[in-house]
Order: sequence, then C-alpha cells, then structure tokens
Amino acid sequence: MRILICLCIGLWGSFSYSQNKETLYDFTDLPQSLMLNPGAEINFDYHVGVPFLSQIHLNVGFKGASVYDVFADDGRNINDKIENTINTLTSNDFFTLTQQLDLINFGWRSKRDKNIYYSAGLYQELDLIAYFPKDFAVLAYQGNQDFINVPFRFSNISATGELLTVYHFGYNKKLNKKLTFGARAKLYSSIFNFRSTKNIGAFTTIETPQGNNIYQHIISGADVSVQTAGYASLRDIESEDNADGAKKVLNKFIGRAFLGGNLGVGVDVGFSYQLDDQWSITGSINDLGMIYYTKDVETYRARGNFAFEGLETPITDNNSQDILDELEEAIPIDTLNTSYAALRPVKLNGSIKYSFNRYDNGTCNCVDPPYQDAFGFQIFTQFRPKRPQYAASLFYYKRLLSFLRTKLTYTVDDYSYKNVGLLISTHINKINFYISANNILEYSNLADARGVSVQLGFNVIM
Amino acid sequence: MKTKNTYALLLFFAAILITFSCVKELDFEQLDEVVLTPVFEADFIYSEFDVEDFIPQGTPPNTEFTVPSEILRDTINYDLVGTDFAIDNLDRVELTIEIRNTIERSFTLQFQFLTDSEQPIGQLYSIPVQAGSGEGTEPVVSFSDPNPIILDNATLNQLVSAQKIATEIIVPTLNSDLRGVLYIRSKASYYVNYQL
Repeated sequence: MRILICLCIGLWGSFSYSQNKETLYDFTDLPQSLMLNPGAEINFDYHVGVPFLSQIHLNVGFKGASVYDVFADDGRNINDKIENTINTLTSNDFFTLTQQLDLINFGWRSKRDKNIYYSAGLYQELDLIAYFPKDFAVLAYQGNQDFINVPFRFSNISATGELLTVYHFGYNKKLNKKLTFGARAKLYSSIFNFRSTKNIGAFTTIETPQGNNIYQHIISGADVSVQTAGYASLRDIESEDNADGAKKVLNKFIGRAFLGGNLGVGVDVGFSYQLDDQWSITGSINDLGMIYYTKDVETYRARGNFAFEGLETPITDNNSQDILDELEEAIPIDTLNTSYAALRPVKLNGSIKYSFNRYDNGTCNCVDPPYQDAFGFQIFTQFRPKRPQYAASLFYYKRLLSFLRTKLTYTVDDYSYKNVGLLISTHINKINFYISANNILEYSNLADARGVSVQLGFNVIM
Repeated sequence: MKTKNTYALLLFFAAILITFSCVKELDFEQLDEVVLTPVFEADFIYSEFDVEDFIPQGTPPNTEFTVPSEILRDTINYDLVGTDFAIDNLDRVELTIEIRNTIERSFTLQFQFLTDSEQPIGQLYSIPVQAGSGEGTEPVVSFSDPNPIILDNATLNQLVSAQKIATEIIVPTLNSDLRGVLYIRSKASYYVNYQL
C-alpha cells in the first residue's frame, strides 16, 4: 500500500520529460531492447512476454519545477510559493506523462535462417505533453493590472495527448559477423487524440493616453484551435447521463483499440555494428510514422481580431454596445470536421559501447563466453511540438552473476545533471524479471524529483 | 541453485524497497489556503462632448442656447458583476473616472445602476466637472470624489441585479462662441479574491 501511495504521489508530483528508456536501450539480454532498436544484436532463440506484464512503463516529468516547490511543508505561505513557481517557469517548461503496457510480446528465431529473429506483439500507449501556459497562468493568478502593454500570447497554449494501441511486427537479421539490421512495422490504432499546437495571436491591454478611453483591450491575430479525434462521440454518451455511460465509453475504447478507430502506420529501423571484437555502435529511429484522423473528428477553431475600449455614452453610432455579441461576431468559434494527420513523436537513439572481461562461469555452452562488463555512451532525442528534447547518458553494464545482470546509467538532460538510472534483470531458468528506474538519487524525496521513469516486466526467454 | 534463487529474490525486494522510498513532508492541505487575488483592469464608459457639434444650425454668434437633456442621457447594457460566482469572489470593484475639459463651463456627470427592468438600484453617483480654459489650452482634469469610487463587497451585493447603467452629462446653458471638448475616460478595476 505504501508503495502504491508513494508511486502515485511520486508519479503525480514528480515530472520528467520523455520516453527515454536509457537503461533498457541496447540491453540485449532482454527482448524489450528490440522495441527500442529492432536491429539490436540479440542471442536468444525464443521469447514470450507474460501477457500484460512483459513491459509496464511509466514516465512522468515536469521541466521547470517540482511538486515539492509548491507543497513542501516548510511553513512558507503556499500563495508565495505558487507565485514564485509561476515566475520561475517559462512557457517552454512542460509536463509529460507516458505510459506503456505490453499486452502481448513474443518472438522466435527463424527455422530456415538462424540469423533471422522475428518478433511481434501489441502494446498500449498513453502519451501526453502540456507546455506550461505561463502567460495565462499569470493572467489568472495576477490579472492584467501589472501587465499593461504586455501581450498574453496564445502561443503559450500547446498540448497534445494520445491514447492508442500499437500492433507491430519486427524483423531482425544478422547480416554478417559485424552488422545486424532490423525493422519493425507498426500499425497504430488511435483511441483518443487531441492536439492544440501552433496557436498564434495575443491579448493585450494597451494604455492609450491619446485614445478614446484609458485602455484598449485588443485580441490581435488570434488563431487558436483544438483538434480532437474520438471525442465527439464520447460527448454524446456523456450527455445521455446513463448509469452505464462508463461501460459504453469503455466499449468504444476497446472497439477502437482493436482497429475500430483512426489508423496510422509507422516504422522503427535500427542497426548494431561491431567495429571490432570489443567496440560496437548502434542506432535506431522509432515511431517514424503518422496517424490519419478521419473518424469522429472535431476541430474547434477561433480566429479573428477584436478591440474593446469601453462603452461609449451617449451612444453615437449604431453600435449595439453588447460586447459579448460583438466578440462572438469578431472571433467566431467554428466547429470543423476536417480530417487531419499527425506525426508520431519520432525518437532517435544512438550508442557506442566497449565490452570487456570475457568469462565463462561454467553456465555457458558456447564458443565465445559472454563479456561480463561493458561501458559506453548513449544519446536520445525525441521530437516534441515546440522543440526536440535531448538526453545523453554514460552507462556501465555488468553481469554480476549469470542470472543477475545490471546496467547503471548516468544521464544529463534539460532538467537534471544527476539522473542515475539502474536496471536489474534476473534470469532464473527461462524466467526473466526485470525492473528499471531512473532518477534513483531522487527517490529519497520523490516529490522533489522532476522526472521518474519506471519499467518492469516478466518474460520467458530461451 | 535454491540458495541463489532466494538470494536473488531478496536482492530484488531490497531493490524495490529502495526504489520506492518515499516522499518528504508534503502538505496537500495547504491547498485550502490557496487564494487567487488577480486584479483585472477593464475599460468602463467613455464619452466625447464637442461643443461645436451641439450648436443648433443657424445660431448667431455669441448667443446662448441649451442642449436638450435627453440627447446627453443614455442607458447602456452593463452587467456589473455577471454571475453569483463573481459576486462571491469579488473583493471590490474600483471605478476610476477621469474627465478632461477645455470648455469654459462646468458640468456634472451622473450615473446610476439599473436593474434589467430599468429600476434604479444603489446610489446615484454624481461627479462635478471643473470648467476648462478654452480651446487649445491644457485641459482641466476632474476626478470623482472619492477617487476611485470603491464598490465594496457589501455594495456589490446590493448591486447584484444591476444589468444596465444610466448616464447623463448635465450641461449648463452654453454660448455659441464657446469652443472646446469634454472627454470622459474611465476604467473598472476588479479585485478578485478567489479561495479554492
């Protein structure tokens, strides 16, 4: 229970940033490494993930602040802390949540060609990013009095969210002693999507010493839109307000998860290359693809300009003097049903590794016993609405015992210069269990951490 | 092998426990103390009264005339507090009214909140406007007394059904030789006090 509570608060409160799985990348003892690099050099012949349990991945991040900054029990007034936090954050700070659950994952080595390994499966993913709408947080928290002549920019509003299932099939081939290449075809089945990016325009209160009134309130060049897919039909369910409404929503979700919703295609490609016996490099691109939103699509868009300078008295022109009507006329909110397509967030990985300490502890019936140690350097990039996110890691891989393998990472990214991650993987008979977490130095106080990523799972590996 | 398995499992639980060590003194009850106190500035009424526009056609120079009072009287829609939510969470509204005058006459600006059915509600506000010193001179600026006019929460509660505002510029007898303009500019500052 304690774990659950801690996990919930930790995940709610601490915040990281991306889908970086630095501990799992190129950890070729685990079949999940194929999901990050379809060209990973793997040596097992068969794997089956325990259904629903082969990979549970959670990643929560907040760039710019932590829950501790606001909710610390330190005797300071919470309103001061909120104000400080709002002032510290910028509109490039963000909150992200990524969650993945492997439903099915399995793979086998081709009988005809021992150099080919196939893998396939189905996973569910929730991916959310919301940038901090600083200008509007300030407007709500402080008002416009101290911000006369300062624009409140609609570009501050930027968020996307997606819930989907991914069907995938991967092909991994060891082309020769040095090069392994792999690709994974993906079919995305979107359950729910919303995105509001590329908003422009501003709201400004301008002081007008020579004008008709003290101020002019101006909305200039506004073009704000929210695209949704999978929302309109849910709204109809809600409005019926049935007791079984939740059940209906769930049924719709399940239908869409099984290819009943908006579909998309994508691909992962990757390679591993042995520079020599001990040095190797790898690289991969994940989720190079897009989803086409054609069903159940609703886009809300408001465009226009508006100026307000008070109520003229006595009324001299044909002005209706009903400001809300005028505003609606000037900046109408249109509901559109146009289809749209959106790119999946592309991720890039790359690494260089040096392996050493070849040792056979007697459990390996092989010509070349495995290396017991390796270290190297990894980079990760993910494309996001405003700008790509980067991370660079140093790692150390250690086979402590034949059934206990670990990887330690030290990652530098936008938020933290002390992000230490650890993966532990046990291989007892054919049963594998692994657990990985990053930012472990911050676990003594999860609330102060800005990012936490956890993966765990069970596999059967031969 | 059995001991090894046990050892591995133990190590695992240790790892899990370390991994999920907890969260330091957080106090989510502080949420009860969160108060939002933004101040929103919004334009209020404005007006421009140019003497020249009101001189009846054909009036000889240096002749006295009066402007019919209904021309400078008006009722406009103005939803002062909007909703119950607003009245519950408004600390006060401050009305700042600034009148610049170059006409060599003194005036009075009056305004009164009205209900939807145009029944007066609350007090009548009356602002004397000092005489100016003629066209082309620096305007004489008058403010309300007190400045700003403060509508505190008790007053706002009286004005909860205010939907309209009646304004009137009370103009003395004028002379067709007079020139100059009277500018009324004003704003309302909404002091919100919103407790979560």
